[in-house]
Parts: sequence; C-alpha cells; structure tokens
Amino acid sequence: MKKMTAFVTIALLVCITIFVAFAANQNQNRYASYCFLTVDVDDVFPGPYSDEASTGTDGEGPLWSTGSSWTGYYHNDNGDLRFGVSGYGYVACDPDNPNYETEYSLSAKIPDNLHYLSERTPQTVKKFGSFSKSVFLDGEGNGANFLLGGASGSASASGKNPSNENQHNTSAASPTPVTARDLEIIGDCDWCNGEGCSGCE
Amino acid sequence: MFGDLLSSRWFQGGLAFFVLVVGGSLLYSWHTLRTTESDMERHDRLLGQQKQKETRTAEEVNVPTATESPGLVNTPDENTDTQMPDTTEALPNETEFADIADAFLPDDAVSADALDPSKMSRFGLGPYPEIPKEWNFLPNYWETVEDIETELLRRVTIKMHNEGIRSKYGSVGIGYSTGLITALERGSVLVEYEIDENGEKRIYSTLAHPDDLSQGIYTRFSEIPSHLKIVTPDEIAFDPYEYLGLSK
Repeated sequence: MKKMTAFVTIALLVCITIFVAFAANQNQNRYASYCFLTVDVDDVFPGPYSDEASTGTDGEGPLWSTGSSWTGYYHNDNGDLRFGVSGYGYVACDPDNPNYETEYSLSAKIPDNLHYLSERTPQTVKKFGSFSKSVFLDGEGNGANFLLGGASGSASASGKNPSNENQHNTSAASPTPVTARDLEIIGDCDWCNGEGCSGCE
Repeated sequence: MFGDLLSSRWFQGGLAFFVLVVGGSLLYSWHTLRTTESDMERHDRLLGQQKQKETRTAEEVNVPTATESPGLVNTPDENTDTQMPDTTEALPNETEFADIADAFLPDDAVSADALDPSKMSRFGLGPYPEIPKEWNFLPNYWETVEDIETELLRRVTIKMHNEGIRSKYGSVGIGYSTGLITALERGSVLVEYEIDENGEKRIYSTLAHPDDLSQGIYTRFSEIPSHLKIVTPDEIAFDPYEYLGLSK
C-alpha cells in the first residue's frame, strides 16, 4: 500500500511538472479559435449540420499564422449529393528589420480518397525579410459516403531579430467544434428550438 | 497517512531521484553556460591583442589602419569602440565560483587558443564574410548559426547586399529539402500549381510580400491581381553554392 501511494505521488509530481511545462509553451490560436456549424433540416444530409467551417489565428511580434478548414454537403447541377472539403494554412511575417529570420512550416489536410493527395505540407523553409505564404488543399466526393470534419489546416513559425535577438513564435490550427473557443450554430430556428442558434432569440 | 507516506523509503527514494535529476540538469546547464562564456572571453581577449598589434604596425609604417582583410569575419568586438585590455587579469564578471566552474571546462580549452574558430565556418564553408556594419548585428551573429542552410542563406544575403541588389527582394529564403535559394522581388507572387482534370492550372500555394497580396485562397491565375508578376520556383530558384562560388 505504501509503495503504491509513493509511486502514485511521484507519478503525480512528474505529471504536474510536464503539465506546467506544456501549459507554459501552449501558445496556439491566441487571437481567435472559432467554428461555425450550419444547421440544415434537409434529411438527405447524413447529419444535422450541412456545413462546418473552422479557423484558428495567432500572432506574435511580426509573425502571423492562420489555420482553416471547411467541410460541407451540396447538390451539384444534376441534383446529386456531393461532399466538399478543404484545408488551408497561412503564415506571414512583416518585420521592420529586412534581415529578420523566420522558419516556418505549413500543412493542409483532408480525408482520404477526396483528392489524389490527403496532405499537402510544403518543405520547411527559412526566410529573411517580409513574406506571406499559404498552402491549400481541397477535394470532393459522393456526399452519401462522408460525414463532416476530417479536414484541417495549420501553420507555425518562429523568428528572431539578429540585431537584438528578440524572438517570436506563432502557431495556429483549425479547431474542431469541440476544441473551438467560440462555437456558433447558424441555421434553422425550428430545429434549434430557439436556443443555441444565431438570430433565433 | 501523510506521516506514513513521508517515512516510506520508496517515497524518499523517489524524491531523492527527482531532486537528483533536476539538480543534475541545472549543473549541466551551468557548465554549458560557463564553457560558452569562457570561449567568448578568450576570443575577445585574442582579438583585442591582435587589433592592438595591427594598429601599432600600421602606425609604424604610417599607412591607413586596416584591421581586417576583406572577406573575413565580423568579429565580436567590431561593434564596440573600446578594445579589450592586453592583460590576463580576471574579468569583472568572473565570480568566486569561477575556479569551480573551470574544473568543468574541457581539457583542450587553453590549447585551442592558437585557433580562432569564430572566423571559420563550422560547416566547412571557409572564412566568414564581413557583415555590413550598418546592419548593427550582435557580435555573436555567426555563432548563432544552427545549420548549414542558415549559414548559406546568411552568406547569400550579405553578398546580395554588397552587390546592391538585396533591397529589391521582399524576402530571401532557403528550402531545407531542396537546398535552393528563393529570392522574391517586390511586386511578384510565387505560385505552385497542379493541373486539374480539365487540364487547367490550379494554384495550391502562394508566396508574396504581405503588402502585395492579401490573405486569402487563390486557386486560379485570374484571381491574382493583374499588377503582380507571377513566377514559379523553377524560374527563380538558384543554387547558393554556385552564387557564392563555393564548392559542395
């Protein structure tokens, strides 16, 4: 019993240390983290929502990053139910010092079988000066076969000024309806029963 | 319950291990810091001596002072007006713990004085180029190079500056997988694209100056503002070794 208590206490100490270290470095989506879900009572859609759009944004010093994703159902010109999906990552740097050094990485992901790629991740690049860089990946498929979600976009960058060694970091990723700080449900007020939907009060 | 816990050998042992790990990490960190400081002090001292010698030589032959040859490193004391004294006295920031700390220094710390690694590339690229003084970089600029790509990029931007062309580029970058340099002129947008099922070009990546192209998704060439020049990586990327005249 004593051994078990001691083990649990030490494990707890280690966990607290790791948590504190992790929390100190958690700087993602500091500017915004929101998700819009669109309600549609059209029962041909597999779920209660017809559209999901998410964006996370972050910035520090001259660095800025955004990660976005979208998934949704639609009917094409023939009336067939289709499913569209996209991921988007964006990073920008606009410093006063043209020799400001930035290293960044970007990613855009979508579920398998909606494009010949399921992920687009440009090579890691180091840049001096001002720039904005984006990457985008989209796809589509038969709407009956897919549920919302599964797409994502992310971007991160770290930079420093060689004249004073000031350092900055930014990191953004598209949130999910569960992880978004701001979740907004837009759509049919009857379905919402006057609660939880924008403009239904 | 709490008393039992505190008197448990397992708990005491675990706590001691925890303290040992944290203490060991702090000691190693202190050792690393001390080693680096020692190196920098040694370099400062050597360079101060060298500069004084060169100044005296120049005065003796009555020619303008040239404290360094073209193409050599921007040294740690280039951005300061005062020279280090030609003495071996203890530096002001040395503490009473210095002797203990020196015990942790590598054995070759003194014998390496004959060399000055701060002037030579750690990646075999030869002597560092001179850093433009107007950039006001910190003296440890070359010491902060993390990898060969960063050093190549720094050398390229310095050469571009010396050739008077750096200012026309919004950004200059290097890809870690290709090793190629991409210098993007203001008023240009670099696009990467694929051919879709209809045989049309679809953009999936853009690079521009943030003032030239606003944030957004651009998938068609027609969506790019017409005043911007569209370029591709194949058109503008170049090999840094060729540009710098270095052999791989």
